[in-house]
Amino acid sequence: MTTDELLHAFEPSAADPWDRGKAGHLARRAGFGATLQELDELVALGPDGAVARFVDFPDVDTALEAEMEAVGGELTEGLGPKGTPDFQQVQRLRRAWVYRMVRGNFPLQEKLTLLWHDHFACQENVVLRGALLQAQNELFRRLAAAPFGELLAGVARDPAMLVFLDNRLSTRENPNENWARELVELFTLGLDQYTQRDIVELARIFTGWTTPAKHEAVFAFRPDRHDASDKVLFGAPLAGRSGPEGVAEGEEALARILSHGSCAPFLAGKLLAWFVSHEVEPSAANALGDALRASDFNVRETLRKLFSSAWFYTPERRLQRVKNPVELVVGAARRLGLQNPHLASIPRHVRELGMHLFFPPSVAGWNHGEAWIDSGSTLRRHDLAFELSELPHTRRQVLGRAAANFDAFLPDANADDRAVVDAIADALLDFPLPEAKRRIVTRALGEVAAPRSASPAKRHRRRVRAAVHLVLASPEALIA
Amino acid sequence: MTKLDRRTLLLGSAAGALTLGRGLGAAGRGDEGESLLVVVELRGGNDGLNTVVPFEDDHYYRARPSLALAKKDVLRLDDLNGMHPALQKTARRFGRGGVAIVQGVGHREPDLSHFRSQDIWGAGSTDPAKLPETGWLGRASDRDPRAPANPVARLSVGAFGLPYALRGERTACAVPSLQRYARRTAPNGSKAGERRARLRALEALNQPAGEMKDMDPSALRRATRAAETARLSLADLARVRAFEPEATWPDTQLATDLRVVAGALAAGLPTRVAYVVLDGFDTHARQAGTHRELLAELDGAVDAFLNEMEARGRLDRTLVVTVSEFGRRVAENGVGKTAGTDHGAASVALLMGGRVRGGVHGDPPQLDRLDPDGNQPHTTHFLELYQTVASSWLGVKDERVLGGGFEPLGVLS
Repeated sequence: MTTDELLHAFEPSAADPWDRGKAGHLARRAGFGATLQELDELVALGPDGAVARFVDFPDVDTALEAEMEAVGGELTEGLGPKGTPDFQQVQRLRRAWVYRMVRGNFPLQEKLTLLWHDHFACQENVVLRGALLQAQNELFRRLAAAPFGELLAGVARDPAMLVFLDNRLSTRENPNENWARELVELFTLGLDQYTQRDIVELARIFTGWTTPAKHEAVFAFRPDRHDASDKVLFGAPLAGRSGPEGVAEGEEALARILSHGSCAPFLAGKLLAWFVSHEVEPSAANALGDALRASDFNVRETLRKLFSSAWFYTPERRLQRVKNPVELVVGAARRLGLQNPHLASIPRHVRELGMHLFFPPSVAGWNHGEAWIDSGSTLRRHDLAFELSELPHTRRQVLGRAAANFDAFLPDANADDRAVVDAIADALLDFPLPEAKRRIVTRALGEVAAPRSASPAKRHRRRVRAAVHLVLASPEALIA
Repeated sequence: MTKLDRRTLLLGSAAGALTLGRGLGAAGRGDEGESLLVVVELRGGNDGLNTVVPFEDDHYYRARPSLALAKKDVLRLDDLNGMHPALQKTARRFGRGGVAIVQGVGHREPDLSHFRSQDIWGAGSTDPAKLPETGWLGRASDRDPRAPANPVARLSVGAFGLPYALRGERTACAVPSLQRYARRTAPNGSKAGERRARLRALEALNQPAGEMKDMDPSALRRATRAAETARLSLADLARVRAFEPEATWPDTQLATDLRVVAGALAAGLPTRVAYVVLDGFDTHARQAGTHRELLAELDGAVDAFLNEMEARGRLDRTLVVTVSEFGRRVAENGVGKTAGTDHGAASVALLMGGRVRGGVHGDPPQLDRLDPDGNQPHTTHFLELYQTVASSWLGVKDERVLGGGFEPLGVLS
């Protein structure tokens, strides 16, 4: 497959129009899914406008920031007052991040922030300091769609990473291979693209890249720790430098890694796994890699081309991903219009479903796809579905409590059970709920009984809630 | 944790044995005579040299001025080897003949990547270019005519999901640590009829895909099938959680995971192979403290598990084996408290249970003959260790499991 074949733009036609199906696919891949209203807006924008709606996010989502300011409380207090224990600081980070994911107007920025967290995975129990994880999370958000070289340079200097992979301690006398190895194995090139000699040399090149103290979220280069002798990287000499100039060795090494033939297809494969399918087609990774390289690793423009391509919208690429827990929970919360999600148990659900933010299972990040399905996650998904269905109801904007408007889906209290099921299934699921299952949920709604004293509106809401519960507990909810 | 859902049980029975998938409980009762294998993966690369210490070897002390354990501090096993002081209970068990140590376990052309090495160990194959899709324990079960079809026969417990080693044609069961389930299925104050209706619907909505005719895309079919076959029924989960131990258990993650295994057996489930993971052995820096804590967790949890098996008269039918993707570099990489070790090659394996031949087996590490990367070459092939487990313990001799050519070690009696 050539780059042109892969990225040939989708052109709507009478036979193959830009419709809700394609707009929904875009919203699931470039965001966390769309409400029915958002879907109609995306259809009206046309393919280019819809893609731009996701890809052209500003550095700062000002409306979201204003909303968070208005909500106040812990959302504006950052890591909390002085003396807040680190684990509580990280809990605050999680809640604020979840708030951005659920309420933000530019979901691609948060989805990329999550991708980089998964890609450059650092663990809370090693990094420990909330301030370091906060700085890293902000780095990923700020450079979410930046040229990959800029992001990589930022990560190499990132205090959380310097602590997590021990480079902070790496010295001329005792070079540490941890960062050196994962830099090429997991972050840029993949297995078999380097030798153990390259790892040893990279470890020496990055000696002296450190932080002033373990708790300080600042990068420092220590010439006195740096090994200034000449190195060889990927078979070519790399001149050693002493004094403050020594830091240039690492920069040169990063540039050489970027221009290594494997870097672009490796990163392209990561983008395809995250944004298209768990199983990456090697020819597609090579073709997208060529596009990345040709654009100097411009992630934003490469994604724009990918999301605009006819290939991206082919049926084989739709509705065959298993949602990760963040996609599942955030997607459901956005469609329910959940207010004050930081006050709901969203981070807890994400954690219990197996994706504890800031605590990936290893430096390789999380395993995706069917790995998300096991005995525990199925039951916990049922817990999630039930709890979301029982959130407090409100029609107004509220402060101080999590709430959703359960009347928004189907205002007509006289609608029959089947109409309730159809409205909820179509609003909350990406994968169409099969007819047989609609009948199963409809039958169950027949047994839902509100107290006799309840108003018709309340009785209706009980049915809506039961439908939300059962529809989200169906395995179809896992598929995007 | 102790908040067992009495309600779940009641609801389950009220709903007429809510199975949500296959009812795994009824089959496989009354086979307490079967043996159990527990694999404990020490993930990240366990430092064999500081687990079983060659305290008479000057090369060891020269390579590790900061991290070496002094002769006076180790728990002496024989004239040459001592255990890390954190392994007190294991050393005592060694003294009673209940621990077999295999030295120098690894393979040719060691790969210093965690992830590839984990795959090599999980697959049970030495050709990284052509790793099979199935794992060595999955294949052993596939080739064992007596292995129960019930997925819980192959049980992994913990936060890491189904391990490579257990992948096979037969489905395995992955459960998390069973800490928290609310399992509420209807609002407070609901009538029994509504509860029943919602439970029935949950069950029906989660039927295997084969029974849902209008379900098309293969991903959903796969997803549903995986969800439905690889999990415990609610009733079984409740029984596992209701486990009342005979032994004293420490309050650690590994112990919590091993308690699930003990709980499954106590509940009469036909578990034959169990897999748990103790993570954190990638000690590039500040190794001394981290390694001590990890070995102490291993020591306490495995000892409690074996005591539990002993109290239930199962010790002779229990084998615990440790595996780790590699050892650590012989030379340390730092000074003082911050010292650690980079990725290495061969390491030690521990086998524990009522039928091991206690002692130190295999050739000791030769620290004056390291490979070009400064790592310890293997003296025992890891597939010999696997062959021992597969043929001598599980009784599966089929060459399709490990490819043939590897003889069992004489470490089981």
